[in-house]
Amino acid sequence: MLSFISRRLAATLAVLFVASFFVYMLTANSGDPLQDLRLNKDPQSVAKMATLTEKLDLNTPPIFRYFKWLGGAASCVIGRCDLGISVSRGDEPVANALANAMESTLSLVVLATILSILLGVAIGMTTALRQYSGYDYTVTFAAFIFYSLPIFWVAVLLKEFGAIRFNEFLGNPVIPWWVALGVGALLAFLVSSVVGGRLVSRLRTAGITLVLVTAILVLADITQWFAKPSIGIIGVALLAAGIGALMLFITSSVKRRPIVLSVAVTIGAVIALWFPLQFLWFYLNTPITILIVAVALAAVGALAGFLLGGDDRRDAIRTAALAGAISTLPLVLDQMFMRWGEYIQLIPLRSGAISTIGATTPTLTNHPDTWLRMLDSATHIILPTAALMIISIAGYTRYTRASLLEVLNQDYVRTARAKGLPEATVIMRHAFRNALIPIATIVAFDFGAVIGGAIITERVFAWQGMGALFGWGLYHVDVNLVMGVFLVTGIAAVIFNILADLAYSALDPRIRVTDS
Amino acid sequence: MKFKRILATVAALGASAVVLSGCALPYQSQVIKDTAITVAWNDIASEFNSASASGNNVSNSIVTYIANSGFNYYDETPALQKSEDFGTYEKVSDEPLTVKYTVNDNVKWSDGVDVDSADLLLSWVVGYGYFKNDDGTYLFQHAAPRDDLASKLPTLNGGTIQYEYDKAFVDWELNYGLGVSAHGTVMMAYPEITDPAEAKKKFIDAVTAGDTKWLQKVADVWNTGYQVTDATAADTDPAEGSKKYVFLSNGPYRVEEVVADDHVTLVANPLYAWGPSPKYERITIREIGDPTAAVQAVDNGDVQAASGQPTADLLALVKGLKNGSYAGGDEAAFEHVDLTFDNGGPFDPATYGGDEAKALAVRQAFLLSIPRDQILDNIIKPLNPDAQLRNALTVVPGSPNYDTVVAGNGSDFFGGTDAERVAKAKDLLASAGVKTPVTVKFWYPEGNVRRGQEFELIQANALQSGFNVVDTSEPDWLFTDPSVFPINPHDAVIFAWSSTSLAISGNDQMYGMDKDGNAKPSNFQHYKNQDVVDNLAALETETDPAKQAELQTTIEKSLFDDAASLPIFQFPGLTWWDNGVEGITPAPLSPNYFWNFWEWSPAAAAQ
Repeated sequence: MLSFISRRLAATLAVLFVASFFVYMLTANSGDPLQDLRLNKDPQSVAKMATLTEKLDLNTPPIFRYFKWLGGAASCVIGRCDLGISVSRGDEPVANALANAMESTLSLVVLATILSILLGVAIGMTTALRQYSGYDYTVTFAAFIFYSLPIFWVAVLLKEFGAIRFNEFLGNPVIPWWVALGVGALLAFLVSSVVGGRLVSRLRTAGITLVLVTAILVLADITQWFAKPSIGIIGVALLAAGIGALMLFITSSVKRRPIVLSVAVTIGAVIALWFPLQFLWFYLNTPITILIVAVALAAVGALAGFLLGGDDRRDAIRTAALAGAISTLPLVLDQMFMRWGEYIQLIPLRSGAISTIGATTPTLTNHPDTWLRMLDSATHIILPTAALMIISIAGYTRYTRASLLEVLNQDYVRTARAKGLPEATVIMRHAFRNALIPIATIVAFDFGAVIGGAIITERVFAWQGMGALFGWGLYHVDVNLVMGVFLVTGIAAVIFNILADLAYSALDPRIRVTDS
Repeated sequence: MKFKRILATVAALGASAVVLSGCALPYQSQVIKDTAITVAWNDIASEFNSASASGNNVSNSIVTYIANSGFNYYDETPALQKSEDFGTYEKVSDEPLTVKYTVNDNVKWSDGVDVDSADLLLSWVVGYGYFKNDDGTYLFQHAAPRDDLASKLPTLNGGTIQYEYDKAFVDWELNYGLGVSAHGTVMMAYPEITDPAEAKKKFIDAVTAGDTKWLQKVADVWNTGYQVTDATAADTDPAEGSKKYVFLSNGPYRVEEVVADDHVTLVANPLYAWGPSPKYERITIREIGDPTAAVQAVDNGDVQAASGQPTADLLALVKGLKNGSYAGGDEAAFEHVDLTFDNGGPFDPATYGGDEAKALAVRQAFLLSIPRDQILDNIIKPLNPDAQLRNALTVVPGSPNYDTVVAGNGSDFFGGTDAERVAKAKDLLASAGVKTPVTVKFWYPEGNVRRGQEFELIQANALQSGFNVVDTSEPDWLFTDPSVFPINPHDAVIFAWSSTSLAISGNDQMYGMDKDGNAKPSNFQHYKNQDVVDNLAALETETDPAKQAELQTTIEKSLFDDAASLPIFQFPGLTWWDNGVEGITPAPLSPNYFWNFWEWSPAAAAQ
């Protein structure tokens, strides 16, 4: 294991060395950093050109400058990084600029990657299970469209409809009856297709969904829910119950009574704790509180599983603890939505709350209320994340579908079915895990692509991350800055590749990373 | 909301009463409590000393402009306006050129310390590169130190500085202004000094005594100590913030919060009483690099004003703003075609065996063949309906001398309609006896859509008068780099000169040559005319405005008579804003639409 990792790291260094050389040469030759000054009529520009030439060492050929830079960058190994200064950013040390940008890009990219894996794999699985259904064709069609969309265009459209128009709607939230009916019909089609079964049962599912969704929307319209959205104890209860059901389904334990019981007790405890937790959220107004509550709820779940698990104790503890921990999410969302009215008053938007630029509202960056800041971050991150996701999800959907279909045709799946295992167990336990093996490789590749996509997304959403730095550096022929970004993103991409290799060996018993 | 409107009305009434009565009432703040405006710029300030080599860029200058008062500023004309509520300046004598700057008595830094001659001295020392290191570099790394202009220490008195130039200098008015505080800089360098008066005194003494050893620490702070990328409201507090000295200001606002690459928030300075009062309590500048994003941000209400280079697409988007307005206007850059004099091409006399007259006729004919009207009408007017042809090379349209210079610079030779000009070009070519078609290697930056369109128009039009214009575009502007091309390989090039001031000097870089007769660095066309060189040198030291205009006219006359270069149009600009804001007016020169920030106010309708 250790030797595998060290060999991979050595190869990585070699790759980074060669790549950095090429990137340095390409950037250094991509333009003339003095060009703006050459074209400026101001009397000062001559003096400025002389200063800049000296600062950038322009009289030295790029190839020698590269080795100077490499010397500084290599000292990172001994903890004394010298990535140079960024002239286009007022001589700011590159390491400084990177530190700021890294945080915002990673939060964006990691969130987008995790969410697209979850959603993409889920959609891919359902399409594989309902192969050649109307749903499958619809998703395939949509996936190809999204896959081929240019991200800058998607981002601009998202802002137009996801922010500007949606905010107008939030300012005056009237839902016409035909919209409610239309949304209901669409969801009815999707849900009934995913659930599947014979025609009668599908019609029944569709009917129930249609009535339910339309009723919810009409109710939301009457109560003006969108004008002042809130979750409250009812919302928390519904969402927690949904999370519990999902956990049971994923772990294919819907029909195992002890597990169902322990999950139900856990969810009940979450709902019961809603009121006392209000005080905790209020008095312990820090992000760590989320962790504390998640651990506590997981412990409640584990206890319930331990006491009620019976023969399935291990599975019950695991499933209930997971359900408890994830139920923290609706509780936090509830806190965020409680501050909606206050938030709307604090932001400069004409109406609504979804922002089109940046990571936070300037005036709220240092607001003392954690939950309000989280709401602010959420309204800012939602669109760029969606832009990055739309395209990634399309890919994941296709790969998962293909991979799962291949696995489902294997002999051992037929054996599993033949020995009478429930279909859910066959899919979740036997097929799904093997289907994930190729996906692991795709994730590593996709992470690099998402970082690349972030360059454009960040520009369109004025999100100040690595992508924005890279674009800025390239535009101003600021070689040090570009190299800094290259180093960080390059290392990140390589690390993800190593992680994928390790995940590979964890998922596939045929692959060993040991020497023997 | 209603209360605010009443407040605003009262304030407006008060202000107009002052104007009507014509007498100077004590200053009345018109800042409306709890009002804030967020505006966009394509970059965010990261240094609060905008005079240093590292801090001298537009985004830093905008913040220092808003946070500080100055002796003068550019309005939207563009013309230089004086701020006499802050201070005054005058030329004391012509021979030698001596000037005197006085800051008014009541002017204070945001920590309550007087703005006085110590601060003026610091700005003088850095701007004229008075101190140098042993290796010849400047102790204070100013963006463009001019130690060639002044070298005698000024005399100080209270809030006054008076100093002598070593030679007369045409742009003396633009060459000096107040920068960062002296006591703040000294106290950051020597934290043991706690009394501002002591700091000022020690600084003045050190400068007088030439104590560079003591000044070294002060210079270090001046050079890099103002680089701050993050600061909270607690850090910037003028009384006890940890970075209070960095953010000392002497203007309508002070910096309250800085978040790297995201925004800078400025808050009204309660001490300010020496100039027009601003209306908003807070101004936040956010970074938005992409102009389309900035339009959508105004549409959504994320920001209330933004600006950018217009394209047809951008203009369409801006026109579609439901609650927004926009204004075009000129930018400071202007498009022009330059002809190359020494590359063995059609415009080089050497091609015709040294026949200057023949080469001149070909140059004139080619410049006449440029369809200026078509370019203006088809490409620029859709973006800026008020756009006009520019008829001067060294003077900005709208600036005081422009009309005088245009009347006498011979640019009317290139007047008339496109068709008339083509006819004239044909005649010239015929009478010169040049064999047509003449091949012209024409460069424009490859990938630049607008210039690509201009090239096509020029190519089609010039064909009529007998020129075969060949596309030699490349994207890297290699001809501007003398190390690649000592001689410009293109016969004609089209690009823009940009400027950020109304400086009269500096044109020798484009049209002059040095003592050895070599073209100066930005004279890519290698235009060489001794009269122009002499007149440019004379202009540099001419302080009489009437004679300046005369010299400028003579210089331009030579340039147009030699058919060296032809100006076409001023770059169009585009500024758009939310209708909830009043008073936003674009301006061509830096700080662009920020120039009248004190007039920005919440619109009555939006309250």
